[in-house]
Amino acid sequence: MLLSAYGFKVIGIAKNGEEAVQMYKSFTVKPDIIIMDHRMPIKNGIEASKEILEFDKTAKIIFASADNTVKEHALSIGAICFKSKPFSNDKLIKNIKKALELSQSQNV
Amino acid sequence: MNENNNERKKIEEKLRESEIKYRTLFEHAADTIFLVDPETGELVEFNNKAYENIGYTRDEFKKLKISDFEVIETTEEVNKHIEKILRDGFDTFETKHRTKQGEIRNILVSSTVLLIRGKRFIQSICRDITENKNAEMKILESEKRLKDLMEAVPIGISISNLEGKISEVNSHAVNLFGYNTKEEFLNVPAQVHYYNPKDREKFVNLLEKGIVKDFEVQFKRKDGTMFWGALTSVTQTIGDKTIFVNTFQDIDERKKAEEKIHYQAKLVENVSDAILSLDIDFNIISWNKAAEKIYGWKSDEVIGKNLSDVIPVEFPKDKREDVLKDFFEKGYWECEGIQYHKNGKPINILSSSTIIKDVNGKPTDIVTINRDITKRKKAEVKIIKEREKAELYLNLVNVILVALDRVGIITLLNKKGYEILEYEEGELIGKNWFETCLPPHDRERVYDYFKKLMNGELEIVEFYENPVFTKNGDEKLIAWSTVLFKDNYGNITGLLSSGEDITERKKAEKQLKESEEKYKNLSVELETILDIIPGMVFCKNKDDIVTRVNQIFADSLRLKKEDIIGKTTFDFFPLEQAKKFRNDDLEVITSGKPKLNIEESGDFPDGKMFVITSKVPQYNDKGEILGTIGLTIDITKQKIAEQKLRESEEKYRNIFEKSSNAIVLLDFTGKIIECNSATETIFGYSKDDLIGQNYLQLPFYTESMIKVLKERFQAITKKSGLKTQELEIKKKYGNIARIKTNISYVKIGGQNFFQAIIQDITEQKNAEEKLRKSEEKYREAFERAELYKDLFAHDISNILQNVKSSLGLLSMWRNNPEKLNNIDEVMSIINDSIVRGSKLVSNIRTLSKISETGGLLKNLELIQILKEAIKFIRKSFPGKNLNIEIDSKIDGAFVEANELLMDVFENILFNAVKYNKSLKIEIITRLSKIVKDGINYVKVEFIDNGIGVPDVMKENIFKGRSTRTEKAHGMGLGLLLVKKVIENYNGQIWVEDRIKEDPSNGSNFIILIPEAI
Repeated sequence: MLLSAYGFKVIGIAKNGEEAVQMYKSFTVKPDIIIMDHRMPIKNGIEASKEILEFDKTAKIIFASADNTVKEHALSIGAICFKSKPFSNDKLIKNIKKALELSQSQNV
Repeated sequence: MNENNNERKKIEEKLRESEIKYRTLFEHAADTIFLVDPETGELVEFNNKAYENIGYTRDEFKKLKISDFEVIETTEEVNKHIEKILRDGFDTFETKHRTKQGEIRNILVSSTVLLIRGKRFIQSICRDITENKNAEMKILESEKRLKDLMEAVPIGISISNLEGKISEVNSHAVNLFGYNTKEEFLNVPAQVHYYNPKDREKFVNLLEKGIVKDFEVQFKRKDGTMFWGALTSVTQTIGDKTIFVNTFQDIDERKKAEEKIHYQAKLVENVSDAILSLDIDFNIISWNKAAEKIYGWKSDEVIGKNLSDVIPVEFPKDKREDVLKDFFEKGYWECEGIQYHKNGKPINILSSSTIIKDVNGKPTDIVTINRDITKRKKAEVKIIKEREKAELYLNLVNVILVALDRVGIITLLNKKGYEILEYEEGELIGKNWFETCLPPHDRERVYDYFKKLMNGELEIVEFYENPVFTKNGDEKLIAWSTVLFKDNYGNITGLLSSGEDITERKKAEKQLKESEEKYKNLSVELETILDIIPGMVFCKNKDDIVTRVNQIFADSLRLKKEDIIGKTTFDFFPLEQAKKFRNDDLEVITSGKPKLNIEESGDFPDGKMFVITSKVPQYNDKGEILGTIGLTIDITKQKIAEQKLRESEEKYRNIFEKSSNAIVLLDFTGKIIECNSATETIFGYSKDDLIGQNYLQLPFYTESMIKVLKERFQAITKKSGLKTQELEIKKKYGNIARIKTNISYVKIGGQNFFQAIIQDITEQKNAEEKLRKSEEKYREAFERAELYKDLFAHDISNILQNVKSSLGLLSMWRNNPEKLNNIDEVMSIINDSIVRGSKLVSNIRTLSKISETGGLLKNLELIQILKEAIKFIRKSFPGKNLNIEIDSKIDGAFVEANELLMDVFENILFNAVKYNKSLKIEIITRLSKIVKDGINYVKVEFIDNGIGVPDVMKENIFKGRSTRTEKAHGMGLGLLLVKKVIENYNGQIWVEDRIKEDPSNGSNFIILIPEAI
């Protein structure tokens, strides 16, 4: 609801890390941004991010977790930023937009 | 020239004269002379006597060769003889020549080798000695006849000179004097043959006066014995030499007979015996003077009377009738008896009676000779006594007494002699001493000495040592002392030797010498041995004077041995100690018994010493006590060690007894040798129950434990490394204890034992268990707290995030009328987040409560609680189309639980509603009772038509953290809480698919809770 309210289109919501990886791989049109929670059943956010980035190193992942201890790890594997819960809507949107700009400049 | 002619003529004249002279001698010589060519054997030259002497003419002889008239030698022998003469240059020999008439003549030949004009010839001069030979033969025959005559006559004949040299002797004389051969006799001077040397001088004196005829003289045989001989000698002078022709006659028998006759005659002259003649009825016919003197009866008083009336005879031993019978049978009678003097005095007589018979053998008279032997009898008694005394003395003396005659025959040997020589008494009398009683190797030497001694050629040696040879073949050494026996003439007749058997003494002397030598060595050895004995050795006499000490004793007093010897105990030790030592010595000396192992102490230069002393009496060879011999061993170190040991023992005994650990000492069979008080405490048995029992047979252990212990004992024996072992035992009164045993291998007093150290670790184990449980509890609590913290932080963060995001949207949309419809949805999210937050807080509180209280259980009716929970869920989801039914196959279900059971039901029902996308949410709660593993449970099933639980999550759905399910997500600690509560009830919970093998089509949460009893 939040992202839609700000004009973004959500193309998929995964229940767990494993489903997130499979879903990303299955997309013919890859999403511009992936917002990745950390604490998830079956496969956590770090593991899922690693697999997605191994599959597609251009994937843009914004890591969001109340557990700040995984911030360094998430950034080291390739997450473009880390959002510590609870965060404001504005800051999230700002980070998404920044990431989209970065993605567009890379594509040019 | 003329002078030379004259000289030559003179020489020629002389030669001519010489030739004529020798030619004349040659031709007119009385002997045969011929010259023989040795090469041909021919006679090349000879004189007239040569052929005349053997009856040939010159011409005949000229043709002969030597072998033609030579009788003894053959032609070959003649030739060899010629060769010998040629080799030697001359020869003189006798031979025989045959005359032409065949007569044999004895010829003495003298041959010489002559060199005539370079050629060798043999000149032989032959003298006819036939007549000389005949005369010689006649003389020899005459001599032989004379010698035969000398040998034939039965008297001894010898020829000697004044000096006593005997030149001729016949065999009779040789035999008479006891010699073996004539040569032996001839080598002995005539003086030796006289028994009395003076008789020789007497004989020579008589001979100077003319012929000596029948000179009776005592001669001496070779063996030294004497015999009487009659010597007749004639002096003959041959040339300037004077010889004595002697004849000897053995008149020994005659002389003895004469001596006897002389004795008898003398006896008759001096007769002192009563001579009686009696008729056959013993009537007295004659009675001589001696009879008158002996019996006191005059002849005329007794003539005609019967002998028994005058001098009846008492026969001390025999009956009168027997004596008379024997007398008449034998014809003579001799006895000793007692008769009486006229005055009644008894007379010992020696009576000899003979029956006189006529030519027809008829008894006519009796001649009785009675000798008064009263004095002799008395003397005899005395002599017997004396002899017995002498014999006693002889036999008493502890020396051998032996008397030998001149030739070495034993004439006396005392009892000791027989004893020494190992013969029976009397066995040696008459035996030759040298052959019988001297060792073979020494006989000749001693006998030679003896002979010389007997012949007066040697002086007697007063003392000497000679061996004797016993009957049993042993040698004994005797120290002899000898005196010679001599007769009235001074002639040596034998000897008496006394000897002491010094065999043993000599042996003893030898042994003593050896012993002394040995003792010298022994003394040095003893000194050395004493010095190396590890103790103080001392010898003291009865007066406490030290006579010997060893080096250690001297060292202990820091003195030299020589400074100690000769002093007393009181010189070295304080008074009281010295008194003590002295009293011990006196006790040993007085009792004669050793005093051993006296433990005492003494002040020595190095300080106080603890010693152990043994004292024994010292004896001399007579068994008298001389003093004491002592050995003192320094036991100071031992004493100190003992003290330390005692202290150590006490210390360790205290440790042993006070130890809280059981200490058990076992032998190799497992038998308990010793144990301490803690053993009693730990096992509940007294020491008396335990000591002597087999450790492995006590009822502490199970069979399996005993097996383990046995293996441990074996491992210890093999010295394998061992670890401490913990075991559970049953004590005497059945209570269980846990022990820790440590078995080791110990050596005590040289013996090997097992030592078991047992620690009662029951309390320790209980404490450890408590601690472990506590640790587990706290660890779980910690983990739980960590989990709760984590979950709480995460879930709250998410709730807050939802609220924050919702508020952000509300803020963004509040002035936008198009979004008013969306505001309700955002408000709903906020409200939902609040509910979730509340539930999360409630769950956390409940979990804390369970952890704190452990959850006290009580009997609760389950269905009622379930109905309350359903009611709560319906209220919680008013907008949901819910159909919750209870399918109960039981009327009542009482379980052991608490008020948290409501939370369990609410959590499960909440999830069933929350995770259900069906338009109509269907939930069936089914109740039943089952028995599982012997326990009665109430079974509650929550069957929903929700999204289901994937198989991979079914196992982990009730665990926390990373394994949390999606269902747990959003409701916080729901299922973890549920599981904890159910486990607290000793119940079980799991999830199944509503439709088998279809996990996406609803789930069935099943709970078992033990039924209340």
